[in-house]
Amino acid sequence: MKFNDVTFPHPVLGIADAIGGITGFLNNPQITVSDDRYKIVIECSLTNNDLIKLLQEGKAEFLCEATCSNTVYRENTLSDNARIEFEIPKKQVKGKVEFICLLVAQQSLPNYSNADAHRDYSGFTFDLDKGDILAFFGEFTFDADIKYEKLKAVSSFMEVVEREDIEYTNIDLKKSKIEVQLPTNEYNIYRSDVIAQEIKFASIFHSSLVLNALLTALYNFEEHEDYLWAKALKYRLANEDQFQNLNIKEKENIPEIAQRLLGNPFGRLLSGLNVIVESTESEE
Amino acid sequence: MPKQLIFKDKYVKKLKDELNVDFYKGNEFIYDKKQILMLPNINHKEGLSERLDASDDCKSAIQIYEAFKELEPIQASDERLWTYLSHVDLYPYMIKRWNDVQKGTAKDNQKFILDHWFLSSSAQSSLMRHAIAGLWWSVYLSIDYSRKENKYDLTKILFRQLDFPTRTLGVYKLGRHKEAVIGILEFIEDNEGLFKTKFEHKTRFVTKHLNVIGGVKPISYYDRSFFKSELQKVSDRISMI
Repeated sequence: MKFNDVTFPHPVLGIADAIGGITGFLNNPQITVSDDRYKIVIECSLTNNDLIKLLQEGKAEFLCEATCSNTVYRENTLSDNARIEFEIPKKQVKGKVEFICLLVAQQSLPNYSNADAHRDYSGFTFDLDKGDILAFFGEFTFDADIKYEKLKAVSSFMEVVEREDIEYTNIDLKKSKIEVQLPTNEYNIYRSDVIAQEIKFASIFHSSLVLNALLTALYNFEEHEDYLWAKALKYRLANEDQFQNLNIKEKENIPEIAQRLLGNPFGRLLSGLNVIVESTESEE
Repeated sequence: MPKQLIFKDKYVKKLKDELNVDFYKGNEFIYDKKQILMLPNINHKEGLSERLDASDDCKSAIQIYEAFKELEPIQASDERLWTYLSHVDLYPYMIKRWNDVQKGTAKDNQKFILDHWFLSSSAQSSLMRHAIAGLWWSVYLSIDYSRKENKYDLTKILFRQLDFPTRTLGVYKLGRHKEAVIGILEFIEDNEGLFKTKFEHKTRFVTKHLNVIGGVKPISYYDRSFFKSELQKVSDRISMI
C-alpha cells in the first residue's frame, strides 16, 4: 500500500488534512538485534477523541504490517494499545524491510463520522467494513543486511584488501564495503604483526588511510547510495544526535561528518603520537 | 550425505557479465569447480533432475519443493543457490524445459539465457520468474497443510497456466500474503464453471481487482474468506470476460 497521493472514500487521520490533529510516532521506532531475530517496538501517537473512543470500545485496533520483497515476507501485528511490539526471525528477511502503521476498524462501523474531519466531509457519514483504515501513523524501513549492532566499528563499512595489479593505493566504492586496495608490497607491510596488531598505530591509520577513503566516499555518496556501506552510513547519519545539524548534501559538512564517524581521528592521532613519544623516551 | 553446493557470489556475476551462449548448447554446463561453496545445513538432492518432468511444471514444482522444503525464506531468495541449481544439478532438466537456445528458436539467445538461468535481482518478481526458484516459491505460497494429503490441490490450480504464478499473481504484492493466494485459489476451486474458459484473462482480472482493493485496504489483515467474498461480489464480471 502506498500512501502518497491516496484518496480514501472516507476521512483518514494522517492522510492530507482529512482529519485535523497530529499523528505519527512518539519516538523513532526501535529495532534491536539479537542472535536470531529483530525486535521492533513502535509507539504510535493518537490524540483524536473519536478514534480513542472507538479504541476503548474495542471497535478499532492498531496494525503494523511488515513486508520484505526479497523474501516474499508479509506479516502483520495487531495491538489494542499504541505500543506495538513484535519480532521477526532473521531467517525470514533480507535487505529492505518495510513497515506501515495504521489504526483499522476491528468490526463494521456503520455511519462513521469524525468530529475533527475536514469541512468537506461535513454532513456525511460512512459505512466502514472491518479492516478499513481509520488512521495512518507513518511508514519506515530498515535494512536487514546492515549489522546495526556493529555499526560503530569502521570494519562495518570499510575494509583494507590486497590488489596485485596496482602500483598505487586505490579506493573502490562499488563494493558492499568501501575497499581500500593496497598494492601487494604495501599490503604485506600493513598486515605484518608489528603493524596490524599494534593498537598504538590505529589512530594513524584512521587519520590517514581510513579518513582519506571515507572522505572520497562521502564526497561521492549520492552516486553510491544503493551500496551497503552507504546504507550503513546513512542509518548512522539519520539516527545519531551528533549528526542532526550536519546535512551530507552540503559539501562543507563532509570533513566534520567524516571525523565524527571516525571518532575524532586527528585528536586521537596527536594523543597517540604523544604516547609513542613518551614510550620511546622511557625505553631510552 | 554430501551437502548442497552453491556458486560464489563473484562467480554468479562473472557468468552473467561474461555470458557465453555457446556454453548453454551442450548437454553439460562446464563451470569452474573452484567457484563453489557449501550450504552447511542443506543436503544435496541426488537424482532430482531425473524426477522433474519438462512437460509438467506442476509436477516439477512439487518435486523441487519436496526436495528443498527445509529452505528458509532467506536461503530460498539466494541468487547463488538458484543459479547453481539451474547450471549444475538441474541443468539436464533446464535444457529440456527451456530448449529454445539449443533448438535455435530463441529470438535473442542472450536474453533467453539471462531470463531463465539467472535472477535479475533478489526481488519477488525476479524470484518468481526464475525457471527453478519460481517453481519452488509457487508451491511455498500455495501449499495448504490443512488439507493434509491433498495439500497440493491448490498448487495444481495455480499451475493450470504458468503465467499465473510466475507473471501475474506471484509477482504482485498480493502474492506475498499466503491467505490471499489461498483465498483466490479456493474461489477458483469452488467456481470451476466460471474458470472453464479464458483462464488466463480471468485470473488476470481477479489479481488486478484484488490488487486495486489492496490499494486502500491492508491486505495482510484479512484471511482467505475475505478474498473469496470480494471475488464473489464480482463473479458476474468474471463470467463476462
